[in-house]
Amino acid sequence: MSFAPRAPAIVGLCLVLVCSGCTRQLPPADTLVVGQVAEPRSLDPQVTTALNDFRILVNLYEGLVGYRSGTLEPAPALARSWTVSDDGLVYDFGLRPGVRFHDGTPFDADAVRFNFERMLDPAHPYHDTGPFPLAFFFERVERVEVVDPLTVRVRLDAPFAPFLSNLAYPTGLIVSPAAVRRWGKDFGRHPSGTGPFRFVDWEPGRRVELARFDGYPGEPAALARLIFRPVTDPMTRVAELMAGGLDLALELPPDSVSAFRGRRGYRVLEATGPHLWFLILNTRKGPLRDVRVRRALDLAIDKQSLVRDVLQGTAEVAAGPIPAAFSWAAVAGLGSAGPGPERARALLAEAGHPEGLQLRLLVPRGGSGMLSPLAMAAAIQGDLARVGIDLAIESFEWNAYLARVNAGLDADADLAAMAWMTNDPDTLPYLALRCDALPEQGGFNSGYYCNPEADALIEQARRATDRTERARAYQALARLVHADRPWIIVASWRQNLVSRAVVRGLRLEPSFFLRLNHTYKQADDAVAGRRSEPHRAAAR
Amino acid sequence: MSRYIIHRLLLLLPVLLGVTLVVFGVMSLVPGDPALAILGPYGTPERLAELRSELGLDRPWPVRYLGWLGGLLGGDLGRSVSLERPVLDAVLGRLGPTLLLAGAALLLSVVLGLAAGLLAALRHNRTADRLVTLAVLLGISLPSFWLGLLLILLFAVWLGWLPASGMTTVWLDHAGAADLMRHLTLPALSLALVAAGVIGRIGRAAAIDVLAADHIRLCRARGIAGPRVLLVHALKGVLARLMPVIGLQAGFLIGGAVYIETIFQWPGLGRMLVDAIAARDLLLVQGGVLVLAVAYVLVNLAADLFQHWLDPRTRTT
Repeated sequence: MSFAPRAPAIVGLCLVLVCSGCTRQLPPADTLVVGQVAEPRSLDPQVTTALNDFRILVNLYEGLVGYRSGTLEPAPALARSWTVSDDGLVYDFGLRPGVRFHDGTPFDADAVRFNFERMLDPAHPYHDTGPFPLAFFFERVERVEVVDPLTVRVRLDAPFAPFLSNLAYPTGLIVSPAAVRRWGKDFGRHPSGTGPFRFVDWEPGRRVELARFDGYPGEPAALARLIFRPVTDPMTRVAELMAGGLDLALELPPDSVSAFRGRRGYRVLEATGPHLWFLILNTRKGPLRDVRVRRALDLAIDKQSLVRDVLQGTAEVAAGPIPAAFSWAAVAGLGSAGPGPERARALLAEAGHPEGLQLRLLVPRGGSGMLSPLAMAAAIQGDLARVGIDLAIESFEWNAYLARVNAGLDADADLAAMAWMTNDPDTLPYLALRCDALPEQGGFNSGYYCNPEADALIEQARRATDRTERARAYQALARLVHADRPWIIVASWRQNLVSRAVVRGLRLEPSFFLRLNHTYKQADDAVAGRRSEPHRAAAR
Repeated sequence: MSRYIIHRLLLLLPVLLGVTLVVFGVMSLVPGDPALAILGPYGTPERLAELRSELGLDRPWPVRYLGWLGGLLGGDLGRSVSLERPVLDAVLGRLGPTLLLAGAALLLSVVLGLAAGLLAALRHNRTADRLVTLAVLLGISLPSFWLGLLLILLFAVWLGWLPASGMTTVWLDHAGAADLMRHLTLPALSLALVAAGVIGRIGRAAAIDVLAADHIRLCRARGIAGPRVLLVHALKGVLARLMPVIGLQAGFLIGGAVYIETIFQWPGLGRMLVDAIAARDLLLVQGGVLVLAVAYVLVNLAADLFQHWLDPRTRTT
């Protein structure tokens, strides 16, 4: 009896067993499989702060206010209409009738009050279902009153123009009070809202499954099921998309997006968001106290080339402190003259550095919205070398980096890279450009920029109830900040999504959220074979 | 024998105490904390302090460690801040997939490694031996994550025979064993190859020794058929020599699953630990490391016991 001849037979049998049905398996037509960048933290919209989770939440829940499609402007959602008192302190919301949560309980003014009080009132019986890290979005809320079942009144303690945008942010999504009472601290794993999809199942590390909510009062969702899969490794997301295990994937690396552009059977969608990637300059210590040196740096850096060559078109050049996605408040064409190394050298000589100078830049190795920080830093180092500036780069892990930079730039740091995603033009200037927002006062003004004129404009815009007046203040602020150059504002992130071409009715919003109620699949060969067409969201 | 097992199990206690103390200390020294990770750019000192006190992070770490130990005695590993759920649930939910992957990889690596080692020893210094030695060298030197990417590219993207990642097909409500096997193949193979290389290399040396031993030569002299000598008499000797190596490799497989789990999105402990460290989720890291350390010690104990059973000479110690 011999063993040897049997071995190949056994191996062959194993292969046949493993490969039984070894054909490419694709998701069914009524199901959309989304490749997410991480495992969700919580599906409680007041608890989580991650964009990754928000993309699931906006399909499960609705807020009083949402974003008008393609913009960052507040639009009616669970509130059909609202009025604001002349002093900007009282907001009356008229609620949509006949709305029910997924658990069957009715949505009404009591539910709205429960939502605010759970978050804001430490004495509320369900406040312990937190913590609620972004509750400060609503810190101006003094009281929420139930006028009648379909009217709710919110009183603020001071005029606060960003209130409506904050309501449109996922922190303002309305949860079912009955479900919070039932699940307590585990509500985030048993979510219930009023959105077009209801929660079915969450298998940690594998998937979150949602199904079409048949009781949705609006137009029902086209797809029967949504499945969100965490695929944390970007190369694996690309491979899964090509292997057919995902219908769409988000936040692919710039190289891969370029590879999918023009590839048969795929579609690349892009939208520029309310994001800024900038360098904070140390205006308190070192050579950057001199505005001429700051201007020289700004002129020396070739932002077009950074965006085109380093980020490969996954970002757009930005200029002012108000991202262009807030089209009503931003100034177009700031600093559009482009790089000017000659003028930069002249400015440096004028400021007393004809021989050039040495500077130190802090960068994180990665992090939320930081794009490709090390590659960006290296390119900036090259640009500055051309005007005689010797830039040393020091890199940190993201959490360590935040701790270091948020504490303020010391004498050892002249520049630091930073990125912000905001939901209102107020957020970033208020937190990071005011004299009262220095790190020692608990703010994020890590470069110590202080101009009372800028403070006055920020405050004026914050209190204005008229949007034209707000816009004028923000535009004046942008011009002032451009003249003072406390930051070198480089780019706004253009978010990407790559989908199989059969996926239709998809739109990337400037908010970067992903509402999928109008999405469907068309298993049409003509569609599948068509070349992918870059398709950009309207608000730019 | 039972005294030996009890002795080894008792040794587990100081090991675990040491491991958890080190994890707690190191995680407390690393800059950044969960509050910073949650609030990100919004983390003002005031808000951070508030969130830290709500999460119980404002006490000194030795105090928190003692509190954690107290909870452990009652079977409570605390609550994960990055997953918003009890650590015990999170860890136990991820343990099964890790053991499955590491177990499959161990089986594969032992089968492949032994086959390669025996083949090389039988054809000592001939072409087959050189080919096997080269293959083994490749297996040891190729980084498993890189190999994993290549396997995904070949079998999932180009050929479309096997899924690229995950443990089951996410859109099937009741994925069966066949689906699981299809998902298990590539990660288990990439994880197994390095261990197979190590086992093959040491297995070859062991087999050369064993095949030259007196009792094997006696078997052959008495006319017992070659395969029978090999499978019954020689294999036992080779396995006994290999057991400590296999035990160590099993430990490495459980730990090495970290990379492979990330590339193949395997829902196991390793991937969870990587995310937990990035989120500075101390209690989750602690729970995961605790379970891995227990698994490591138990696997090595099992390997030792198996060796005693295979090789009577080691039993007296």
